Amino acid sequence: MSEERILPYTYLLLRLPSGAPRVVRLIPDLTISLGKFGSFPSNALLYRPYNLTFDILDPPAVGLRLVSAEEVTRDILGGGEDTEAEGTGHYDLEIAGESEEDGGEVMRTNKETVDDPLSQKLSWTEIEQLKKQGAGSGRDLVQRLLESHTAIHQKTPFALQKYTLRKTKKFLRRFTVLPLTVTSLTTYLLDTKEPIKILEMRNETIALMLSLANVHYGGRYLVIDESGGLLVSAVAERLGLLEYTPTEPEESKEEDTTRKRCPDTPLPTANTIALIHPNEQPNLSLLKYFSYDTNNPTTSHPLHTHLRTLNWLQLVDPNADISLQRPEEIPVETLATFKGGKRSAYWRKHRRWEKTSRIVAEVQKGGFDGLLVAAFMDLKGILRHAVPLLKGSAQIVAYSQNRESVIELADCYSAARKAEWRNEGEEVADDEDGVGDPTIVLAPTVHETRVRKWQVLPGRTHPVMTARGGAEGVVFAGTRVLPVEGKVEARGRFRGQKKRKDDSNDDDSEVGVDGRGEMMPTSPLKKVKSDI
Amino acid sequence: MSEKSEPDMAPTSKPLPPLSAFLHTPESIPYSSSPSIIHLKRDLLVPLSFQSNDTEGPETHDARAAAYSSKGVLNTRFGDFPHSSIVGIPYGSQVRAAPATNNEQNRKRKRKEDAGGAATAEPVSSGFLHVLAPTAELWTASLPHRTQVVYTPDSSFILHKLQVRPGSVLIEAGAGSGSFTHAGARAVYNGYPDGRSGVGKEEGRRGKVFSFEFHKERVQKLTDEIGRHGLDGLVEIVHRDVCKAGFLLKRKADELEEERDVSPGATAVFLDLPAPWLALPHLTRQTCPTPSLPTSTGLTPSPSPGPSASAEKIGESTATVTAIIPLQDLLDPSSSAKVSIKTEDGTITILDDKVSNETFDSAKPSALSSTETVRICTFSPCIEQVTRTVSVLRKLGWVDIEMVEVQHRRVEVRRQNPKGYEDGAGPRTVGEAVQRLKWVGEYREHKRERDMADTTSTRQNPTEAWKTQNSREKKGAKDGKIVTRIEPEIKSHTSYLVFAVLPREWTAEDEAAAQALVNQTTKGVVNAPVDGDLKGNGKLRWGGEKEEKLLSKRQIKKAERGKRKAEERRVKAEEAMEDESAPAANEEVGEDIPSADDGNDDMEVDG
Repeated sequence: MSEERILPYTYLLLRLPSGAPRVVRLIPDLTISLGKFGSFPSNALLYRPYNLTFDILDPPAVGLRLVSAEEVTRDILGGGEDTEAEGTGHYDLEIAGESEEDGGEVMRTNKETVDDPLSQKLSWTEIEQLKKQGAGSGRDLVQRLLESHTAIHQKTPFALQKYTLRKTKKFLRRFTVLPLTVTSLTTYLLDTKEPIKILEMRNETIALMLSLANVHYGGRYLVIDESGGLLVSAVAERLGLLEYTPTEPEESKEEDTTRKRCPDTPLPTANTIALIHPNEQPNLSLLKYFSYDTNNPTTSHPLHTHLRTLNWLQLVDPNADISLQRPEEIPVETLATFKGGKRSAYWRKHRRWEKTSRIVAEVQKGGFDGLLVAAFMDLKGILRHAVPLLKGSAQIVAYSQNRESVIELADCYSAARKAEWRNEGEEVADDEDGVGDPTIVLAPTVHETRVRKWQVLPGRTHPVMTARGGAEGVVFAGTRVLPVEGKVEARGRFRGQKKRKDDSNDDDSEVGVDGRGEMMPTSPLKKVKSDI
Repeated sequence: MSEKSEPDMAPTSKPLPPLSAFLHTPESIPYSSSPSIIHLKRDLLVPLSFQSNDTEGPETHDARAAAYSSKGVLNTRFGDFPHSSIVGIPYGSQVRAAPATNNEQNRKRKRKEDAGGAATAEPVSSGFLHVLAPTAELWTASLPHRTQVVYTPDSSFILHKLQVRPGSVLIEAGAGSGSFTHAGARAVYNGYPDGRSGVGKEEGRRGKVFSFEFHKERVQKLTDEIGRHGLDGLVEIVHRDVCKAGFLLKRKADELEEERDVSPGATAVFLDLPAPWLALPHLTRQTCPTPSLPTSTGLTPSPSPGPSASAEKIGESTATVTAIIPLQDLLDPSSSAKVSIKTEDGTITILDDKVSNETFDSAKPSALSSTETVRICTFSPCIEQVTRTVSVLRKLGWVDIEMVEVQHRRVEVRRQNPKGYEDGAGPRTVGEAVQRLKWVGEYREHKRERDMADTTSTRQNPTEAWKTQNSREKKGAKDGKIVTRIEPEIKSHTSYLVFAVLPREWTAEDEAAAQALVNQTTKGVVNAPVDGDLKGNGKLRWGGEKEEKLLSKRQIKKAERGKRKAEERRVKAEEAMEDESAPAANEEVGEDIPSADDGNDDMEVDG
């Protein structure tokens, strides 16, 4: 932790000048190819720090050149170091001495610019040629492009800068090495891969969920994750469970011996994640980026002991699950007569059963510190089964990519529903797809969060022009509470707010019955003031 | 509101204090100085700590809580709750109000109600509240505001982007009300440094928050709060103006020794300051503070002329981040670092004479972790602050500079009345409107006829008739369409967040060491990253023939093994009917092909 280096067999994220990310696994003694940007030996990155920027050397030479931060910044600004120094200077304004009546300052515009595809004299074959033999990791090519552009003098400084930047992005053979963390993985999956597989969860959504669910070191968390393991990795990162130094994926023989030892060691009771999954096996494929493969788990990885998985059948109806049926006991004497293979199969079966039943028992006992849900499945049913497993005051967050399902869920915990449940008992809300007892969730809230990016350049600061659309997921948050037995009624004078109607069933009366669950239409501060 | 010190936060002679309720929820609500959060109703939260009866006077932490609590009883408009009825039950419990007592609050309320009239006749029903375990979010929502608070949507995103994890060291400047301090402490927590209750890892660094604040009163209150919340040891509050004095900690190794400057070794920095660019020069990689930020005029509010030296510009000859070194180091021949200072007039402007004296103490360490990437976030409401900050960050060698704002809204969910009737609204469809107008016309006609005939036969009033036909009454909680709206008041702008990354310093020696390590551990296809200065590490070439052969043998073996494994895995997968997105092993090159989903030949075998 105190020394951050690129270690062998870790996954890295290489960001190209165009902003496109590439995920590669750093295996020593290989060539990493970045397509048209060239290739370099993986050893050149080994044991070097993260977040540095490198140029890929031109073909005869092989290797990388470390680019200083100053140079990176200069190229990002499009060679605009001078404009940067000017600070607030308006680059588009220039002093035109002749036109004195205008006050000497004239806005240079694109009035005279003519669109002409022929203004670039280099043909694409020439560009290809240059690309092959060009020097300076593509910088040479950019320079040639600028030189051979006939209308370059007509461009305003801003346009010129933009042009340079565009060409730089296209031809510069440069990349930045970033660590593959939950943050960068999310960005990568959202922008380049299939975002639907991670339910189009954005970084700000994940961050908000982790905070609202009070995820911190030492807690026990119940997770329902259908995003391929992204939510699990996010929680694991906050629990410090992703710190692992990967080794060469060999020693398959040794693994067997270690696996035998594993169930006997006491499993940790704190700082754990319990995952409930809908299929027989969990889909945690994204954990491979953090060197953990659920199909072939590394026993030394912290997740091996701190992550438990069980499926819905094992939770809801454990008696119906075959894997939870106790395997036949064979006396030791009989066992001794078995052949080696058969005997080890027997023990393996036994161990698996022991492990599964222990996990199921542990989860069913409940007492979790928080619940995090990101699912395609209906949230109501999930919460119906999961919320009772939480301890009092535990936080609940649930995410769906469709706001409708979250809103439907929030409605299930409305004041009216709670009142109905209290008055009429279980038969009211007890349909199969409901949430069950609504009174065990306090203050249901629906959060919507979005980060807006800005471009910061001297004199040209504004929000970026385009951003990702797609699903606008929202987060449901609530608190698990322990309601008292018997009838409860809220007290206090709520009637001063609005003149009451004869109608005994309007909104005000609901507030009277149960002021807590209702969305308050007026500012709560006003109420506090009137109250104290 | 008493400020006396608590027995819980007594010095080390006593047994170690309990774990913070913020980090480990106790089984039941204890008598403690640490607050519980009383949830009266939505958005009305009060932090309150419960004191046993033998302690004189209840301990309340702010005026609002004091208004509620008197003599061991919590008085709210939802009823009175003696502390004894709350303590001892589990967190998250709903608590019913005690029968009304004849205390002053109730008497006052009664008088008011009497004046109000009829409402007093209503029998007193039992109100309730919920007692919740404290979390950073609940604390943010209920804390006594001393300054503008960093709210959860912002703080969560900041901590996520700064990659604050258990074991991180976080610097926070401008602690303010302590909202972000609590969130930060939770994020870095991986056990107490004093090993309290044996929680936490055996080895490795313990996470810590260093919180700087220049307002004396706020520092006192915050220190008191942190102590009461059991976060001492995880959070260190320092009273200082970081723009002037930097981030180094004053520590004494022992009683005799003089105070030394110790680096906090930060891996993440959060600056909530009015002028973050003034604090940035204290956050560089160099082993000495560099407050002599070369600025174009206007960047610093009142730069007093300090010692000036003409800057020597030596291009990008080092692989290191551009650094600004004070004069003395320039003259020091042993200093290997190169200097590249660009100011308009070629002079270094020093902010303050006092500071400039400090710069000559070259023994000062950097406040940042020397071997890790450092991430920074500044939090400023104005765009002018952002442009200045970004400009200085760029000068100081920070990369990946990004500016965002977080837009957060809460969505309110409710049910409409059946058919979408809102209170007092008229017809909902054109058809209804037409029908109603027809009725009105008919009724008027009818009324005229009746007046003329003067009969007693009555026909229903159209409004009444319409109401009986179109009942607006809700039949149950599931009646009516679900509608949403945004909360009545949104925080449309909190602040702009500037993020930046400072990679670790990478010198020629580091590069040589890394290269040596590579040579040791790999099979020999070795090429170093080369840089202007780092050249001479040998010609750039692939490994010799021998290595290649060796490699290819290994490749064959690996490929075979990979095939076997893939076979096994496939069988396993079929049995388990596992998910489609499990990585499919590549048969040709086995595990040397990264199983990344983007397997578009990102890597290929050499040779």
